[in-house]
Amino acid sequence: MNELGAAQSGSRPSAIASALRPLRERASTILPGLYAWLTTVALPSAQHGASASARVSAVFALLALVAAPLFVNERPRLGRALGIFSFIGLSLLTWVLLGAGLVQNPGDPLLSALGAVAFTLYALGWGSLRRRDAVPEDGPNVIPGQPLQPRLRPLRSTPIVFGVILAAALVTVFLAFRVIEPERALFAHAVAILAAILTITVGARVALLVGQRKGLPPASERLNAVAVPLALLALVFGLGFLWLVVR
Amino acid sequence: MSKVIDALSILLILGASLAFAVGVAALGERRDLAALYWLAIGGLVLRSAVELLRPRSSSR
Repeated sequence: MNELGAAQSGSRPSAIASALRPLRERASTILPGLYAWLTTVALPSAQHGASASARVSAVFALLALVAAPLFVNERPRLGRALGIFSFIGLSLLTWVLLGAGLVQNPGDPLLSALGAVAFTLYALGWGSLRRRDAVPEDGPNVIPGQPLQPRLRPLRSTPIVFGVILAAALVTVFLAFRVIEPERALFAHAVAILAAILTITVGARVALLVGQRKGLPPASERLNAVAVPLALLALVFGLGFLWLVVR
Repeated sequence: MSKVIDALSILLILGASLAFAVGVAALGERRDLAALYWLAIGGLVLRSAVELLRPRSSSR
């Protein structure tokens, strides 16, 4: 082997390594996406009755998923178009093309639930990430001057409170997977997601303000404010009890 | 007193979450009226938690 050949064979692994670097850097996004694709797109497409168009669409979804990190640094718009719109759109297209074949495996709601969690992690992974060498203060939209101080400092209990509320909110989402009938299941999922969003939104505010005294109205005012909704709640509970007795 | 109110607001949110969960479970068992009832309860409990946190009458 001459020197040129040795240099070429030596540069080949480094070229492969540099080509795979975006995949490594984006592993926290790619791996959940891969799991979500496997459990919710590939498995239904691999079933016996799945159409060829659904399988082709599933393969293109995988290609979009894997190709997205290769472009995300140099051409971020193309990367995001591939990773978000193409991957999600082709996954949706696969589900549509599968039709009734999508629900041929209703006996494994856990797998579907894990797939949904993986899709959530994938979506979170596509959040705006700062580049390694980027300094936020160098941005053109930075307002010069002293940094603004937060009005409230979160307490140590804040993450615990929020964690408990988050877990409680997710119970509803997981319960929706136990609904078997397709029409009801769709409605149950919509209701569960709406309930989880509402609970987490209010829970985040509660978690941040628990233990804080600054800027909050006095306790008596807060109790007075809650009197009407609690009275309404007691009335609805009473009606429910009455309904139980009459029935 | 404020600590009691804070605890109450957390309990209200957990109660709302429980009511939503019971509502969704009732939906799966084809008990539509019960599902609507528990979802309404959940909404009311959540509304109470919001009011407890930041009263609407507050001037801020």
